[in-house]
Amino acid sequence: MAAAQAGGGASLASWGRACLRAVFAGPIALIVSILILLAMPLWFPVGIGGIDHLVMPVVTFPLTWAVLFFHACLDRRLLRVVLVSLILGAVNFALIVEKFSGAPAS
Amino acid sequence: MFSWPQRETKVLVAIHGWSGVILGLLLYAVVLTGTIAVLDREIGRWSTGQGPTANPFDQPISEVVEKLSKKVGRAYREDVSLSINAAGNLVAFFHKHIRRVDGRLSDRGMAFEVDPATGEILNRREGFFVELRKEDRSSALSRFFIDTHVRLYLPHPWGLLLTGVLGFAMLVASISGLFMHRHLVTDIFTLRSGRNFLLNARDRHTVAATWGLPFSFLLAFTGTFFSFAGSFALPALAMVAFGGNQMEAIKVLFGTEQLRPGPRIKTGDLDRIIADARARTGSPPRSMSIEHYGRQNVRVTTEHVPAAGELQSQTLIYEGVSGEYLRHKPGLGTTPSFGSAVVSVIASLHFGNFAGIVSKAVWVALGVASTYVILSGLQLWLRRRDESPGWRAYEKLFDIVAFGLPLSLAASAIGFFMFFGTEHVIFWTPGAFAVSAIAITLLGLLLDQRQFAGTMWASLTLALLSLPVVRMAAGGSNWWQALMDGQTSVVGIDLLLTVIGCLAALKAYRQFNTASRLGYSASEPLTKRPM
Repeated sequence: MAAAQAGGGASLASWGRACLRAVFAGPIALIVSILILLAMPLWFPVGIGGIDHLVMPVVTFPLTWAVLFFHACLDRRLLRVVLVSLILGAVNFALIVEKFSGAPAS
Repeated sequence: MFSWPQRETKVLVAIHGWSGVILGLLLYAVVLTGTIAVLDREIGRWSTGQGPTANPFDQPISEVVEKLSKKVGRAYREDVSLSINAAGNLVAFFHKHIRRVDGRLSDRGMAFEVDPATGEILNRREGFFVELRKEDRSSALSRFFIDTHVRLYLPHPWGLLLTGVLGFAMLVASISGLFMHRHLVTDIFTLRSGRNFLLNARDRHTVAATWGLPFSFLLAFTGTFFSFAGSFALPALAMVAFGGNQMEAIKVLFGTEQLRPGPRIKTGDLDRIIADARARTGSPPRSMSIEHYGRQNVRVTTEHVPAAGELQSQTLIYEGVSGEYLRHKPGLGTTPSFGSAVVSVIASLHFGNFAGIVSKAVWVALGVASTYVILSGLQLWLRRRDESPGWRAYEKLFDIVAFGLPLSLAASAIGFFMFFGTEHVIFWTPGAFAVSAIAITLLGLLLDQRQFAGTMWASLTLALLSLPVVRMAAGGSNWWQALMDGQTSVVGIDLLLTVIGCLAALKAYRQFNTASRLGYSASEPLTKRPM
């Protein structure tokens, strides 16, 4: 009975981890990619033509999204997936907020 | 080649399969119409080919443009765009830039369609550019194929967002397909013989997918870029980088000079500018634009196909009164840059137009291979699960879409020719597609799988073989006239349709013949039937 309960608990935990991984591979990977896209013009070099900071975020967007998606699916350590996504999301979100709050971006 | 632990390999296989199963049918629609859209100019000439196709920019147009300018109100003389439509006629669009009710910037003005040989005005329409483009009868067919490919005929921005997601799904399937191979090099050449249907199908899918992998990755990446750039990325970046000032963003990105119009003065000789641009680039312009027509500070921009051996298209800027050459302009920005070069290369690789008809032919062949990979992958997935009622329902949908799309595209071309030259062609080109799609769906639901497949192959044969006849009956050139007029694309596309029609006839014959010989019924699992 106890073994069955333990087995059920482990299966529930495994199902929860799979759901969390799916959330980070799906909507969270997309949201973080969009945040990186939006914040990139604030730090990417403008270039001699003055447009690289506008063009390259769009060019790299599909690749960024793909990297985050595959990382969330393949990394065995779910905690690392969560941390990478949250840190990237938070840093880029902070850059955008800083831009709109009027403070000079460093 | 790639040695992943068992868990990761299983995850990659699951990603590869599910990305295809969830979005594969829509992806099939985008890839098939994209393969056709590679030949958009050729299809435009084929669908309207009624006479010699002299390039309008090889004819004297300076006087024509000046005469047309006197027929429009002063407000519309701000800028002029000159382009060539599918019928090979010159289209001169005199316009001004205004903000629409929805806040978007747009060009509004008067468009003239002119016979380049005689200068006769064939048609004139007033309105917004995006709406006038939809009303162009001659390009209704090629535009329908392109709109289906670019946005699946859905309204802006939803269609672009959807095709962007589909491009991403293709990217994911390509990457997972690459990494899940344990023996990539041997897989490229492995086609095992024998009577194991699943094994043979898997081998064919793997060989086609592996050879086409770089192309699939390239198309998925560049297609995702274009879809997302047009739907949300550029407006969102304008919001962040320019505080929402879209005009400023456009000015920086497209390198518009924003010169103030000076006093009235006659614009210089456009024909001299075209001759000079031709000498510098080796090709006539494919389009031109004139900013501040009839004023000082007039700027003339000519756009050309990429030079031989190059991937980037060429844009030249001239001072419009004196006709003096000023500079080459990059595709984006005002000076050559890394970003502009990257986008130009992405565009050339996506459209396959960097080496004329040769690169287009290669792109069409690789597009057909990608279409096969999508369909064979889905078929493989379904055959492994055909005992499950849910997957058998999906299989029904698969059959309807797989057969229905090419047949309905052929029906749209028949609709175009039936109403060619009338205002109804705008409605009936997509309309014929819709009617055909509804009829095929009903047939798919009513007939068993064997009857449906046979009927579809036979219908496709009929539709494809009848298209050249219908085209000629609608007033198009016959092959002899077309060759005399130098319209090789008319004969080429007719021959291509005939060859594909004959292959479809062969498939129809085999379908009916094999079915009657083996006598299997629709209720049998697919794995027991021949492929």
